[in-house]
Amino acid sequence: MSERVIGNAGGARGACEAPLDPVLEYAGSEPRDWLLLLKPRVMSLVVYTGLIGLLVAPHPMHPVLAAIAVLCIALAAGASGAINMWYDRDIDAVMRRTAQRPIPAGRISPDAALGYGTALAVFSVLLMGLAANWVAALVLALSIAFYVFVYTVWLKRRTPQNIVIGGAAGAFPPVIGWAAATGSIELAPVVLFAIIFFWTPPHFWALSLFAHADYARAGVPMLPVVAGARETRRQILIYTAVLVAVSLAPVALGFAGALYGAAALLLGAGFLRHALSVLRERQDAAGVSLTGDRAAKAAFRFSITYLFALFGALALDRLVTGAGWLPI
Amino acid sequence: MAPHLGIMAEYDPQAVGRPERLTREQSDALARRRRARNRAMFLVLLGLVGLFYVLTMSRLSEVGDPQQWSRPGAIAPSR
Repeated sequence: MSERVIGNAGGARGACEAPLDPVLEYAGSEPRDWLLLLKPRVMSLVVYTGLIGLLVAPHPMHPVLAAIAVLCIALAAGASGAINMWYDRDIDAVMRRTAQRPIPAGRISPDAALGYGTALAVFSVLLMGLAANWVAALVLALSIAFYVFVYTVWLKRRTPQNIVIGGAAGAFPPVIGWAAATGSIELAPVVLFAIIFFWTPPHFWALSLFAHADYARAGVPMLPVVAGARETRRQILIYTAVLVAVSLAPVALGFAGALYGAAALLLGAGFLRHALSVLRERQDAAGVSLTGDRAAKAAFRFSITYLFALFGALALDRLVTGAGWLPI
Repeated sequence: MAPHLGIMAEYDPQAVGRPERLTREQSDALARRRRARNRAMFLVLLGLVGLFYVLTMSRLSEVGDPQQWSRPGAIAPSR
């Protein structure tokens, strides 16, 4: 962790890094910068869904080993984030939202970030294999590879479908959690995967509606940049409707009970209402909001609450019915 | 100065881009951040020791008493 960066000596692509305070530039990184490389805010959702996948599995797991398995999921998500920041350092530097990240700001060199991310990725997979089992470790490795190679390197800069297909990377954690507890992959975790998979597009497209200028400046072909805001609003509604239908699958398959079913219906109705608000928001001929994207911002915030509450309801339902292994 | 010291100085990664003279402010900032990084590294290493200790203990508690294993030296099956 002693890597120091002097200006752009680390070799970031492009000459677009922010100018630095010469004193701070010389002094290098702080421990906080290395934590920021792990994208802690994204990590929280990943850890949460991974934990729920582990808790709702029917097989008991030693609590310490379960905690280590969750730590592995967190480390793997962080490693993916660090490698993503290494690869995207050129576009991060031109986006207002990301310009102060440690690499574009010059506090950590690109090479150090890549080494850090790679070492963490290998460590998390090996630790998962030792603490839980090698099925979970394999799925964990697959999720890292998917995020880095399929989403970051291949899709992100090429197609507006980037977050639709690439969203699968964020959908792996409940499968990994389940596999850590049971050593196998069954239909139930695949349904949880599908829920997150269909949740991702409306979540990210709501964000990209009010951050599209950033994406356009960086040349990232997010849907509002390529197809326009009006089409994005329509797609948000379509994917939300599919999400609500998929969220009821655990009940239909007998994997969850009435408590989860009621929560899925209520939360789904709320998400649909937000998606409709986004569609009907006051907008110009191109679909650009005339209200400062109030509806899109509200939909984005609600989408996070939605996923937390839906997975929480599933864990509660399994707890109440005694279907999971979590002791009361 | 001995020649080998000269070579070491040339390749010292800490010296890359170092100004000829540090101001008091630069020197303080450098020392503070280096201390913070060292402390963080110490905590990470300590955490790793603890992590592998509890991992080993938990794994051992899962496989039961080695005295009860069917053949000496057998490795308990992992899930």
